[in-house]
Amino acid sequence: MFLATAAATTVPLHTTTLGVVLGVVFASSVVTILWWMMHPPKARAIVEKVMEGVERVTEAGRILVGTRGGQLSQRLLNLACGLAKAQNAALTAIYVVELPMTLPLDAAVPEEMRRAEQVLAEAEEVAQQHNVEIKKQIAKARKAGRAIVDAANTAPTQLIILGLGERPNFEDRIFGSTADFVVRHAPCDVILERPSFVAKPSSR
Amino acid sequence: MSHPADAVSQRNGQNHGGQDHGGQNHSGKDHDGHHGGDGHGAAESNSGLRRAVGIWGSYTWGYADVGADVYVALGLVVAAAQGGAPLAFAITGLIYMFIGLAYTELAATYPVAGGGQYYTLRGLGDFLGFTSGWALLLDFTIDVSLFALSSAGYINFFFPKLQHQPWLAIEGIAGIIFLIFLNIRGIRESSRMNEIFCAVDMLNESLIILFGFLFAWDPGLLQHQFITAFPSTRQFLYGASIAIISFVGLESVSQAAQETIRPATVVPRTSLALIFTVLIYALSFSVLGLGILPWNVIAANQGDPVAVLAHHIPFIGFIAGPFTAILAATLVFASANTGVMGYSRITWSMSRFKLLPSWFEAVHEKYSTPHRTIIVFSVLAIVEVILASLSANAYDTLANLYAFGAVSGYVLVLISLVKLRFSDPYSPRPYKVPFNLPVTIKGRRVEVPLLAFFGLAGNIFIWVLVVWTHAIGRIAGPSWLVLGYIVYFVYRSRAGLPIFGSIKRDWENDQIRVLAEAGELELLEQYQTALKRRDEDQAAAAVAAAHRQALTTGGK
Repeated sequence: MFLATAAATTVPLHTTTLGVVLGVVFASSVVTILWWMMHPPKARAIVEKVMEGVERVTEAGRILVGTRGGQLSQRLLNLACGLAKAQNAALTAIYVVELPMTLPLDAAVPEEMRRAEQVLAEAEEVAQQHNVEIKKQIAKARKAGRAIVDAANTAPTQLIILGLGERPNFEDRIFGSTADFVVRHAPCDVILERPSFVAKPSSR
Repeated sequence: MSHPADAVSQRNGQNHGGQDHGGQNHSGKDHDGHHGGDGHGAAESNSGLRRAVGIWGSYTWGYADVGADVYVALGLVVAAAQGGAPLAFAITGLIYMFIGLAYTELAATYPVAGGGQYYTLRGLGDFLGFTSGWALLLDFTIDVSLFALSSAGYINFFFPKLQHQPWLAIEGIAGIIFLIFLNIRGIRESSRMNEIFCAVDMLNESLIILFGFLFAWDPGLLQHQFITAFPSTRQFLYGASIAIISFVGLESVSQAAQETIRPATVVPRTSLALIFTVLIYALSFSVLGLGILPWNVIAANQGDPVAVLAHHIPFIGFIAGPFTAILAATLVFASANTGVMGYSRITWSMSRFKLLPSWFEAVHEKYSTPHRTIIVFSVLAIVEVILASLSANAYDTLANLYAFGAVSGYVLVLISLVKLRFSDPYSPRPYKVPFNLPVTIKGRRVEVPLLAFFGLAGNIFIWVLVVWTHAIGRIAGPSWLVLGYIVYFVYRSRAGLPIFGSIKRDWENDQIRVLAEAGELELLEQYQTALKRRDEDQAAAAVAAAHRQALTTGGK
């Protein structure tokens, strides 16, 4: 009933040239303004990449930190704890026991396992100092890089933090075997922390 | 319906205090909840905000606020300015453009929540910062009462017998009580919903205007009304001053700036687009309205003018009328909710800057929302509805006060724009108000924004009009300011803080943090370089002065 009475209230059809012009000007100006608004200039490629990286790193939900003990690992853990605390992210410390091809993957390596537990216990202490919860993980693998990438794939991870523990052996390696593999195969961003040694100046 | 980030912003009130990170979304998995909050306290190290508002999100954030204004203003302005309504909208629209450009520059330069209150505090110090914030508080409470009442008006499009007092007031108060419940519970809509809703509304408004111009608009009727129904000068000026309420809400884009991705690029665009689209809609509706209906028909339907207009459009009127009424009731109610959000944010921000007692900072134990602020100012909004409903025209009464609060705030923002060009020339300005006059003061080149002076003149003109022509604005507006000053004087005296002076704040570190959080790395670099150059210049000048001093002493 309402609709029936409503139809009767419309004004008579009345089309004028000026009305058409105003209608077109109105529609085109609104469309033009919105189109202009939706197409801002792109940030310079490198800046955009950096901004994206910063954005992703500061939005990580799970952070995986590779640890092997020692001073560098402490620094990695401090960094990881700081980021995890700021973002309320889940933090996992992983220690990879690398097994040579001469041993099966389930071989008992008590000495190495004790070392792993000790390093992870130290990691837990650092996390406690930051008041951050940490999950400990020991993985056995042929190569540490593969184990870290697998761990990041198994539990969705937004950020891996690693140390550069060795110098590259081959020309096609940039960082060292583990870091090189992780950087190339990780499903997420990777932060690499360099060791604190100071390179000797060239003799030349 | 609220701005998506607002409820979370309130939670950030806690987060800044380092008590609770639970309200934050750290995983980046849910893009529906933005992170808001004021986060601009100079002492704060990290606001913990995640920038998640994109271009359309930033635009619709503002549109949900400003876009709703025309639904309320059309009837009021036509009732006052009659056949001269399009001219009233055009004059005020020009002044609004100047204000809009100033807001655009400031929001892009200082991408933090807080809007006009923050700019004034930063530019003109604590006392005027308080004045600006307090004037905006008035606006936000009026926003709630006026738009809740207007929402009731559009609902009553379907119940014409209720389109008068006391029913309108009862419905409006019920709406405000609902908003109190909604906001204390911290319920929020998703940003996606807001974006879709605004898109639907814009499409609807555009179709009404387009169909209206194509099939119903009669230029002869417009011309006839302009000539024969042009009001007296005083009446016209009154209409022009009321028309400013069609453009209130620019605060929203600046408040969203803190959560916008690439704010330096995005905010100027969305802000400019908002200024011009809102202006186009307001002008179109007034020109269209008086080319389709006699002015007194629109004036007689102040509760639902746009729906009545839509209802008369051929082909689509039968559906556009009711659809517009539903859409307008919702959008206008959403705008009322932005008022609740607005005063929640602004009081919280003012408390943090020690402009208001910290009593307002408290958050609800269970819901983590600033319940005290919500209750105090919502009750005030209810009182405003009741008092307004006792007057001859409740909409007009509230619009009077709305105009007073807005124009008072705008005047201070425009002065701050000029002042900040001098006092903070180092902050990079991704967007500058055009037409600047370069002047050199003490060896430093500063660009003086000429348009700001035009805007200032226009705003002062409107402010004088409001005080001159609005009986209620003349009494209630200044009374509100006096009440605020009493609160301010008592609080600052008891806290041992300067009343007319300002507390020392580290704005430079604050700016560095804001730009870093915004991911505006190039701007950050520019800013740091500018500061470094300034320090070097100052050091060189000090050395030269010492050298001169030594020479003078040696000579003697």
